[in-house]
Amino acid sequence: MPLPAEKTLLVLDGMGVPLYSARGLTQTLTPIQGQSVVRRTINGTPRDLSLPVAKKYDSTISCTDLAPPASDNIWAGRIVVVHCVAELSRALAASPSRQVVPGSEITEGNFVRYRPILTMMIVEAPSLTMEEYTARRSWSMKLTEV
Amino acid sequence: MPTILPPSNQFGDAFYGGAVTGGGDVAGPFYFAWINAGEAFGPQHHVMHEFIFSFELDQSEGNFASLNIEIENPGVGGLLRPGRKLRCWFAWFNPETEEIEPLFTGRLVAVPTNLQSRVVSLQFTAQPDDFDAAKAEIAAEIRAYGLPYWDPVFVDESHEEDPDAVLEAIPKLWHVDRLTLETTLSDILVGEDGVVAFEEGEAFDDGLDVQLNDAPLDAVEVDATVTWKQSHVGTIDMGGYFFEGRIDGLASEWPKPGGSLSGGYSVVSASFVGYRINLTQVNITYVYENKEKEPTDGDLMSHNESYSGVPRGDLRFATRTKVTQANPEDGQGYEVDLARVGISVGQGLGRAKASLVLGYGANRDWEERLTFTVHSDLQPVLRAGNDARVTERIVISGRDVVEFGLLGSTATSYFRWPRGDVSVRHLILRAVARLKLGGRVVNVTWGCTFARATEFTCRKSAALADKRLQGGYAIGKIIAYKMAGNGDSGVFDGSVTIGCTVGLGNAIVEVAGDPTYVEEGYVTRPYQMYENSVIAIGANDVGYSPPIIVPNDDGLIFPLTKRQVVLREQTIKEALPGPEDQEPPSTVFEVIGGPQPEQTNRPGAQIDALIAKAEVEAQRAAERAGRDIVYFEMELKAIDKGKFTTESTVKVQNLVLPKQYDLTTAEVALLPGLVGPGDQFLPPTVS
Repeated sequence: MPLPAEKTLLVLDGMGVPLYSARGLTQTLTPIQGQSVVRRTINGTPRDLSLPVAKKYDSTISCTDLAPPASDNIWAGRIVVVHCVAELSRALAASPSRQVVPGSEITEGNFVRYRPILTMMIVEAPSLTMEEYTARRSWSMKLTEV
Repeated sequence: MPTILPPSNQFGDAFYGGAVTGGGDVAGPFYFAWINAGEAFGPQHHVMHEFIFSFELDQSEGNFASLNIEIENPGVGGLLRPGRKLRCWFAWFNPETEEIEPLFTGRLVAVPTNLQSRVVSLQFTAQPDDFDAAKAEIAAEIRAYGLPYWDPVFVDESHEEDPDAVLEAIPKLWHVDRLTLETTLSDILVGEDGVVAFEEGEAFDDGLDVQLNDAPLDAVEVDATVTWKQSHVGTIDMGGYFFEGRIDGLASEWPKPGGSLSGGYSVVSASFVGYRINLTQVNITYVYENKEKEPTDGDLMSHNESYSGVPRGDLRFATRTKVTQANPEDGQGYEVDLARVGISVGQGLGRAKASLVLGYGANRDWEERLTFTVHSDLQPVLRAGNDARVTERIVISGRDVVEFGLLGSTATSYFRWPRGDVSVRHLILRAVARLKLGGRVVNVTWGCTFARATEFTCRKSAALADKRLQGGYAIGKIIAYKMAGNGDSGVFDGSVTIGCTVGLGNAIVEVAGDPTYVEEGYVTRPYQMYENSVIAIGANDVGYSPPIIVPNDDGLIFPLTKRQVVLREQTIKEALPGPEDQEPPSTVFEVIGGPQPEQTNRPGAQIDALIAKAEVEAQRAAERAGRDIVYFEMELKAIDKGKFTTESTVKVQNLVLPKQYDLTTAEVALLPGLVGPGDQFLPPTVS
């Protein structure tokens, strides 16, 4: 799949990704804290006490490029739909747990990897770092799946 | 991923009505089963019906064992489902015995309110449904056993059926077994079911704690009182009485049958038989002999006359006598009649015989007060402040012992007699029970493995040998224990607290004492009294000397006799003021017929003078007798009123308490690191 015009696979619906602002970004997908509530019984059996609705992801997107992200008037709480760069992988017979970025599925053997589409809330608005002489701009943003 | 149901778990969705999947946890090493009431522990309970993340099982003396568990919320169809089982068995696999052993059975105390949480807490209590009935049954046995541990004299009527009231003189607490739910009594100092012993090193290093409670109870003062009405009904024959004089008033006022007298007396029978009498016997004797050598013609030569008797009829007597008087004209004698004027005395002159039988109804308030103090033989325990001894006081009023049927209605003492002596023992045991609890001043707590903790019950004692303890050793009744487990941390352990007395471990020595009443062997107690005797009672850990009681009374012994009740009895004759000093009537006699004596020096005149004098005297005597009013006064002891109080004290030996913790030893082991070579103390260095 060729890169989009923004030179990145990342899509932030509801915010946008300016050109040259997200090349070489790093995205993490981390299960939320509430997703892991495991107690062990007195007989040694671990029990998952997490709520099914807690099976969500946190994500941190960070990048150093030449353009700033479209962070003006973007504050925590903004809902954006993220076409993730990070991939999830599933068994060939299983169904994806998230909506799939069209054309992102890659089948390898008995497994399929894909890029999920996540509806997320910005929990930390983009932070910006500007290097004047090199004109490099570093930024990062934290989101959590709604 | 499919839910794993281990083969031993037979309860899946069906158990919870299909609302929750998964059923229970894998069974073992812990087991938890929901049960119906009355299910005995068996293989069917070797299951795990819940996912239990942690548990805590504890019990303190006098309370039910409780089990608190954290479980995964089984959902609405679980805990609140109608018809749900509310009781449980909780057990574990003992690796030493390789048996599945029960740890607890009980019923759910309350439904948790945090049902929205994923983890809920449940509390169970090992309380039998028939706890009140079981207590009542044990209490009834104690009441049936009776003295000296149960004395209804000192039990308030409202608490007669109260099971807890039977423990006043018994140093025990209620205990319910966490496995059998059997209700029993357990001593507060020594466990009935043995000692759980811990050798050096068996207790956890951390968690050893020795607490000295507030100052020990040093003494208990007892102030006990019993009351009763001393009552008796009987009769007293006061005997016969004789009165003479003016008895009209006495006759009318003499007590009449059926009448009542003050002081608690009544008249059962009375008689007063009187008759009028001529009171004064008159004796008149006239003797005259003419001694003249040459009597004159007509002179009276001699005269003898006497009269003796009691005037009759209207007390007027008249006699005639004749005197020979010489006629001065012819010298011939002739008889002269002399008439005497009758002496009349007033009405009411009489004699009487009387009798009197009194009835009495004694109804007197009696109170007997007994005071004593029981001290404990304690090791010296440092106290903050002024070293003031801690004393508790028991003030108790017993029932009316006559109404209670323990004493005859005429008794003057209760505590002196055998039944009362047992009450004394009971009162001492009440004080002993409080002293024993108050003597448990040292609490020692330590941690141990879970396996050891399963041995604990509140019917046992526990002992610990640890060089960190003063004396290196402590033993005491288990007053609390706990065993707990947490799946997250993987910590499964227990702890125990024992209560230790700081007695001296002495023994009571019985002493026969010195007889004080009569020679030894003549009579036995309670007639024989002994000084300085010591009788061991209870668990032979306290002794006392039966009090020598001298009732404070007025000496009346029923049935009463005249001699006991008469204070004064007196017949009084009171002369009315009368004409004693007045001149006698001018006419004493009248001579009827014959010439009047004209010359006073004549013999006849002399006779006349004699007669007149005698009659005057007689008249005066009669008149005096007629004027004497007879009174009768009797003063009796009042028996319907009065309150008698007897106060006595009892000598009680010091209560002997076991030395379960030794505060007096000089040996104190120190923590590792503070002991240098040769076990010398190394003072900490300051860097």
